[in-house]
Amino acid sequence: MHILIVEDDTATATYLRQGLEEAGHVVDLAHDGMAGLNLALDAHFDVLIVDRMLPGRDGLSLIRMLRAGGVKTPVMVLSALGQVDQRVEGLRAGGDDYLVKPFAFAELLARIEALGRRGIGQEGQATVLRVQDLELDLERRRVTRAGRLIRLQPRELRLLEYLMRRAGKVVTRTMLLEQVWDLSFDPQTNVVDSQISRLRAKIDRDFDRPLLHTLRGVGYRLGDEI
Amino acid sequence: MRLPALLRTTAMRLALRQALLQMLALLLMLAILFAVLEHFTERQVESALRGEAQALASLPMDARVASLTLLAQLHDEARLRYYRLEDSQGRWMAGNLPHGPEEVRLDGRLERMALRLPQEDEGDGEVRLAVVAVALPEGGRLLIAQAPGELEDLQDLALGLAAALVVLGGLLALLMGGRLGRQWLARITAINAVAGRIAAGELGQRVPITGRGDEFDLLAEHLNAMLARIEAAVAGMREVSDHVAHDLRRPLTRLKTRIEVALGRPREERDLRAALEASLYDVEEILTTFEALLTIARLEAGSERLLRERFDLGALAEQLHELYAPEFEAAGRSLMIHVERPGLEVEGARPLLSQALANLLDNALKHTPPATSVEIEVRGEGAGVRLAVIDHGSGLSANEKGCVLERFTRGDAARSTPGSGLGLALVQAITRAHGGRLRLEDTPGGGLTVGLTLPVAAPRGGQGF
Repeated sequence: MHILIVEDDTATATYLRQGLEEAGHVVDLAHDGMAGLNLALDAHFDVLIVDRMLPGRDGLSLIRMLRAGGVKTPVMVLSALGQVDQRVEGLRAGGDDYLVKPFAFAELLARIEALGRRGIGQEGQATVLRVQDLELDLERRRVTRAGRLIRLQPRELRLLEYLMRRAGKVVTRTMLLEQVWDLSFDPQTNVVDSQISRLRAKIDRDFDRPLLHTLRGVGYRLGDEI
Repeated sequence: MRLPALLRTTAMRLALRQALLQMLALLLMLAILFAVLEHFTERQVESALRGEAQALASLPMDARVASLTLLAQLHDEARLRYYRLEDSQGRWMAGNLPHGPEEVRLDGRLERMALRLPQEDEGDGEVRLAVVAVALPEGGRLLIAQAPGELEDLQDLALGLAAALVVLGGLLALLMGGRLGRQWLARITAINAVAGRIAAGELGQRVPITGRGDEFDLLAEHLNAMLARIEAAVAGMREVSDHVAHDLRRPLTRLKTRIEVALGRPREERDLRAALEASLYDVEEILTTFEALLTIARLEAGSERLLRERFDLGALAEQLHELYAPEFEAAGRSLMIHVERPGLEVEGARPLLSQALANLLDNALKHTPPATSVEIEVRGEGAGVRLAVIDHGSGLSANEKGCVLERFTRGDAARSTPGSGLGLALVQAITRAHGGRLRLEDTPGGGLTVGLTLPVAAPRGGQGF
């Protein structure tokens, strides 16, 4: 993906760029709001990463300008240690996702990739999701693996649907909490792990090749083992 | 205290205003009294003169002239009356008043007018006299005039007395006001002195209370309550910084040591990786503690501007139940939920309240023995909604209940389990920020019940139509 980072702190910008490039993305940098706005209006990017506090033009007004100019590129807003409402403010301004510093790089990467995919594909239209021999029929709310019916609770179904839509990509615990449970907070215990274990017991236990993988300290991925 | 300073004070201004008001009131009262007195004297004089005039008029002419002449001769210091008998042409017939008025009413009512007195009395000057005149049956008129006498003297005396009273009353009011002012000042000065010492940093100072239960005592009590709060806040802050230092220093030191050891000599990549992963875990722990501290501090300082929304607390509890139930099961416990009825709505920051319930569930999971159950309960309570997490673990002693809400404190049984110790303090801060109350109770049969009562959301409607 082609990513633009608008961030005035050089150290942060440099390590973000390094991390994203190592993950196989092409990265451009802008160090203030105006430069960022011009770049974002000129070139086509798959995802923008915008810091909230910027010299020249702050992040939120940059996003508003972009949206007013018809640019629909997904935006990830970054901010310093945040108050609860900043997230809402960021999303209202037209941001697509919001992360509060300090964040785990894995979290940022996972979310950026989710954003990029949202921009490209419209798999939302598909009625059957497939990951190898695992199938989820969205209309009939039915899950089968290798033709065998698997019974899931409604929430497990939503969890699986979310994972299948992002098959092969990393999803983090907080992404799951937000998207599947509609909760935005940071649990101290690993509640999501238990949910994943339960789902894994249903879709993986009786089969040779596991599909649902836990990446320690990062999150989960559905698909082949890397 | 020097006088100008005394005059500048509010107390003295109040006293002066009071004195002025009192003087005005006294003046008004005396004026009324004086008017009544004057009216009364006039009537007295009038009826005396009229009585005499009518008696004289009823006499036959010669007897009248004789009596009148006799009465006029009785005129002396004690009886300053003048008589004049006129014929129908207004000519003098008898009496000691040689110059009569041109016009006079003849109905026997008192009139005051200036008349010329006989030579031997007052020279040529005119004197104001009280005059009563009656018409005579055979024509002509009879006038009796009276010079100011004892009754008028009484009036003058009353007037003088009244003036003296007003002045005296004013002085008295001023004196009392001043005294009262000084008394107030003394108490305000005492409060000021304490406030000054507090401003200088002696937060332990308290304003003296006289026990009279008046406004000053009330003020002193409020000030003292405020001071207690500030003192507690400052102590809390000091405690927090101590705890922050303690709780963050430990993992930071561990992190530093681990990195130093890892870099100390050449190592396999696998070992370095392990060291980095462990370091990452440490940093996450530090950040979690840090963020919880910051949230608590912000909530307690009231600087957190909460974006409130209206939502069903029961539904939120069910969501968290669904999320946590597998975790409880995996740990050999069970998590139940009881929501009294749907529609128990509150107005608040949903992420914070989710966090609060999650913290309570995390705590219950960590601090209860296996094979016990934990219940989430949501029900209406008075004008609010009560959300409770009920466990059947070892519970807390009264002493522990008191301090478990403090930051970083954990019950004795929990010393060895991991956690920042900020969980309940955060729940407390969140509850307070929502105008609610957090209570720690014993579960009947043993265990801890943590209940938070939140004000119910205002009825929907009214706005937005």
